[in-house]
Amino acid sequence: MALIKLTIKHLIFDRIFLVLASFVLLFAFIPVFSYFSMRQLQEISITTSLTLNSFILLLMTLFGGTLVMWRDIERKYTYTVLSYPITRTNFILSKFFSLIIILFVITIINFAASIVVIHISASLYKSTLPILWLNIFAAFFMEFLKYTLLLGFIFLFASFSTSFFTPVFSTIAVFIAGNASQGIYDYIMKGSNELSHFSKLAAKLVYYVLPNFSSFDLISYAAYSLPIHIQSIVYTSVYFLLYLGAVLSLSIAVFNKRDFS
Amino acid sequence: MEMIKVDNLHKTFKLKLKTIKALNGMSFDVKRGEILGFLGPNGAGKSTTIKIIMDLVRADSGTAFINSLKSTNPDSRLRVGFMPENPQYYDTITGMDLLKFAASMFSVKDAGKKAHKLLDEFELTEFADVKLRKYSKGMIQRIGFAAALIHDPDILILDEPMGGLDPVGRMIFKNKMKELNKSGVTIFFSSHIIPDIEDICSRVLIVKQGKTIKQFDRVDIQYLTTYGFNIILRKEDEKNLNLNENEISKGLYSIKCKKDELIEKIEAIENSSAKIVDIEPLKKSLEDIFIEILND
Repeated sequence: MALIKLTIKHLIFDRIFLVLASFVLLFAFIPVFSYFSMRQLQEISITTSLTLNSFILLLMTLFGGTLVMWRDIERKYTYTVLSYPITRTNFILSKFFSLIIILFVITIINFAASIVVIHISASLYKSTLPILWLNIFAAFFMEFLKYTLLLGFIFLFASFSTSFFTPVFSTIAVFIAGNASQGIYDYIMKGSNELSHFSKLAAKLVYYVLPNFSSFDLISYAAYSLPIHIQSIVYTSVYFLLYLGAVLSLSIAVFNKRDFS
Repeated sequence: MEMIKVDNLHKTFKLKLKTIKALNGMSFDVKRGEILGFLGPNGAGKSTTIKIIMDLVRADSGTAFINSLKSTNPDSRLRVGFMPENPQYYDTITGMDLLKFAASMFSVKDAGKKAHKLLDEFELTEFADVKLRKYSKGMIQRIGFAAALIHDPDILILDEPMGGLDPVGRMIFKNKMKELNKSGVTIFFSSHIIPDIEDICSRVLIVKQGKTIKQFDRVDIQYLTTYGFNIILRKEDEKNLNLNENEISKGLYSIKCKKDELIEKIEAIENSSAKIVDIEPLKKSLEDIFIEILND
């Protein structure tokens, strides 16, 4: 608990982190931006709010994860902490939960800011669709889960890397691949009969190994007030827990073998 | 009783294409209540050994124990205070935050009270609420030492604790180490500064190429650093004693001799009319011995 508190305290006073957090102020421009869409102010403001939230969480995940893991190791802060009577598992989990707390708080702040800007945008031009706040909240929450999973990858890459670039660029690669995997998989499996059985099997393997970030995407459900099936939320949450458990276990196993010389 | 036991540690590091053997059968123990100095040239394996004891580095083979617990067990560090070489702390927190954090990691009660006491002892009270990024190197060393003491440890492990300190800072550290040792704390520290080791250690280990090559206790140090004696004597007549005496003032003479010649010289003086006024040892520094051992 003490390590979680210290990590949060250290992060929120960090200049880079403060700059990233200040991106929350961009929510103020969403009603103006939505105004250019003519008749879809409400829908655009919901989409833009969720996209901005996603962008802020992505930056926070990339830089927060790097600051907490890579920089701590590079600047030898870990020497101090690991010399206390705690396990390395405890160290990794404390650092991870510190960032989860920060990501969650930022998601809540973004959601609160979205409520205001969506109300303003909706009042400027009445939409035919109702605003389903539960859908919007679910979309924000799923984004939070998505970036928590991405954070797991940063921890995995930082657990063995001594360079700044490996965790950042490997995580960006995972993020891009994870967002594209569903579309590519569907294309390969449904669209083409020219591919060999082996290629399809390989595509299937890659699809299951990579995280499927598109299953966390509820933006269109929130923007167009489509019904969200509770079953899909439960499936995605279970998928999230299993995948995160695997990534964190691997990170811990690698970190436990690491030398701090 | 052994507070720390290091048993046949081997460690190899791979740096790009090179393989560096950092430890090559390092073995020693640290007994309760002693101040053990760990002395060796750069690359001798001092820091690697300390990091294995603190479980920051894992040995290829061999084991380190603290209080009979394997060093890979976090509970072994419950009664240990540690300060690494060139300590680095989260620089956005204050000195007081660091002490309170250290206290919470050891579940210390009255953390605030203890932190204030330590800040006072290390002359950092007025910097308690200043962020660590504004501390000088010496102040970082002092706050690091204070953090290592917050839970009243039984064992202190310090890696080059006085490196980079000014003479006043070194004096504060040495006095504090002596005071802690008097109260029963076992201290194990590495240093390059031989006079500091000579001054405070009850035992010294000399390491080279990843293993212990010599160890000395205080009596050994006393013996090895004494290479001869200077006998001061008074004689009334000017008759030569044939002992190579040199007159240092009217009636006072000095005779320099090797360690093994002392008895013989004393007997010769006693058989004459001269009287011994004083016998003082002729010392060489531990540094000279250290260099002689390394050259061997």
